[in-house]
Formats: sequence, C-alpha cells, structure tokens
Amino acid sequence: MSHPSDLKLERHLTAPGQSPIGDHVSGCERCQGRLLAMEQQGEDFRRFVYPATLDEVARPRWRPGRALWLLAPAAGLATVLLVARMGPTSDYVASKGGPLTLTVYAAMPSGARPLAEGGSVPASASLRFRVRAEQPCALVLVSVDESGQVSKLYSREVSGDVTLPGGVQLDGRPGLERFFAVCAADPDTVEQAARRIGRGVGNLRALPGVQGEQASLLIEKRP
Amino acid sequence: MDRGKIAELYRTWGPAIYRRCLRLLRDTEAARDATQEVFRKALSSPEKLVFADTALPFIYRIATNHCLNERRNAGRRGETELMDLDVASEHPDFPQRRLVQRVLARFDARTQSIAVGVLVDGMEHEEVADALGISRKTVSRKLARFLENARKYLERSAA
Repeated sequence: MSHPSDLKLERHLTAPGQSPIGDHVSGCERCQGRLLAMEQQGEDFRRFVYPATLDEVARPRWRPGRALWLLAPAAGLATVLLVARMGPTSDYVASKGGPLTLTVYAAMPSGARPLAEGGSVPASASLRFRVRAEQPCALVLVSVDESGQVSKLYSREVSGDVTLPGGVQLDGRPGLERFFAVCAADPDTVEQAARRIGRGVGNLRALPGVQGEQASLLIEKRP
Repeated sequence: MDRGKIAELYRTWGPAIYRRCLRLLRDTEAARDATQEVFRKALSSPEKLVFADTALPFIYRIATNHCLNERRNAGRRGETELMDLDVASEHPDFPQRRLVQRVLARFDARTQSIAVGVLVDGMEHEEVADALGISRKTVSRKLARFLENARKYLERSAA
C-alpha cells in the first residue's frame, strides 16, 4: 500500500478540511500515527525551540555594503567591546544541588523570579535556567510532568556558572513538573531514566540509575 | 521586516522546518540549531512564505539541502555520526531498510536530495521534481544512477 509522503502530510496538517489525502488518512492507522507524531513535534517546537531561538532568528542581519560604509570612517580607531550582561542578576540565588546546582527563573510581569522547590507559576509561564558546575560537565536537562511526560530541554557542555540560552514556555497544563539537571557520564541514560519514573515526580529528587552529579527542582503549574 | 512579522512567520512555518530537520538529522539539538538556520535562509524570500502552496515546497528544499549538508559536515569534522535514515517503503531496487551515511556520502548533493526524497520520504518522482525545482527526467536519471552505484557499493562492502 502506498502512503502519502511527509510533504503531503505537512500540507494535510495546514488545511485538513481541504486535503486531497483526507480519505486515505481517515482510514489509515499508519498515517494517523505519523500525523500524531508530527503534531507532537510541532508542539515541541512551539514549547521549546521557538522561545529559545526567536531572538536569534529575529536578529537584524548583517548587510555587507552598509556595514563596510559604516566601518570606513572608523578605521584606525580602537575597538570597543560592549559586554552585555545576559540573564538574571547576581542577587537571584535559589539553587538546588551540590557540585551541580540548578536555578530556575520564571518570567513574571515584575521581572525574572527564581523559583524555590515546589514553587508555583502560571501554567504557561516562560522559564530560564542557570546551572553551576564545579567541573566541566556534559549537561542534560529534562523535565517530567505529573502525567509522566518527558521533555528533553538541553544537552550541552557546560563549565562554571552558565545561564542556558533561550528558555522554555510551559505547556499550559496545570500540575506538577520537575526539572532534572544531570552531569551525565552517559547522556543517553538520562532521558531513559526520566521515562521510567512515570508519575512519581513529586517526591523523586534524583533520577535513579543515572551516574553523575544531579540537581532537580519541582514546580507547580497553576491554572 | 519587523520582529512581530518574523515571529509570526516563524511560529507558522517553524514546526514544519523543525519536523523536516528532525527527520533528516534525528537529533533534537542538531534539529533545533538547523531550524533557525533554515528559517533565516527562508526569510531571504519572504514572499514565498505567504501561502502554504509555495511555502512548504520551499521550506522542504532549503531544509533538505541544509540538513544533508550538516550530515556531510558532521562526517568531515569527525563528529559523532548522525543516525542513519530509515527507508520509508520497500523499493525493488533498494531493499535495505536504512539509508546509511557512507552510501549517501558517495554522491553529489542533488543526488542525495533525490535519493532521500524517494527512499526516505516516500515521494513520487514528480513530487520530488516539484519540491526540488528540477525536471522529472533529472530525478529519474539521477535516481537510477544512485540505485545502481549504491547496489554495487553495498555488494562490494558485503564481499
């Protein structure tokens, strides 16, 4: 049996009512499964990728002609480096963990607010993360909500005190969600371990069976 | 273009770009990085992002080229190899279930895009031609050459 291509399924997603493959999809379990997976990936984009990358994609682009014209009169002048301080200010300290610490900030109308264990935030709040690792660390940051849904948020090398780029937007569903930061000896094991804990995020402060330093923070998403 | 308009376009087409990049790179971090690169490239022709009819093939083409290029570069840089691509459906001349990078890497960029379109995405020749902006004849010719050379290479490797 021939199934529609990814591109046809993308078209279907944009306008299901006018889709020429609507009949096929409604009777095809495999295509329905693919569409569900595609919708989930779209949701991942909206929740994690979009907020983390919007600033970068919207940054004004370098235009060679204009830039050269601007640079010409400045030839010979000293270069001035402007270092913009990014992320939360140093008076925000609400960390969890030992050699690895994790601080979660919620964007509130009054400004960035660090969250304490069990702290509550609006269910669609935007969050940013700051980690402090005593040693260079292959950091993996995942979240698990009370329904057991796991989301991998970051996987990157960190060292020292780092505010992770971008941020995430919560999914709007009220309930508990725990963030686990792990300096993982084997990064692949982190997501697997997170999937195994299921609905027990409330009391489980570390991922069992994972080697490496860990820190975690529980939040409550309120309606 | 102002930030609000860019944000709106990104929210509309970002999911399709991200899915395409995930499909080809099979790594969420790599797909995230690739998504913003592809979208920035797409912004160079914003008029093509107005309607789905033009936007989706345009996105498909840019994302495919970018991500296949990323796969090639990852191999050259000696980074951890990205996962091989799953073959979407049985093809009489390509019975393998995976399109492995070492086979793909033996061909030029356009042939790679065609092979991925037909074997991985399960597209008809005409659909690949439309999406990549080339003739159907070119698709058939390059695919035939790909299948023949890939078969020979895999036979030699097995021996």
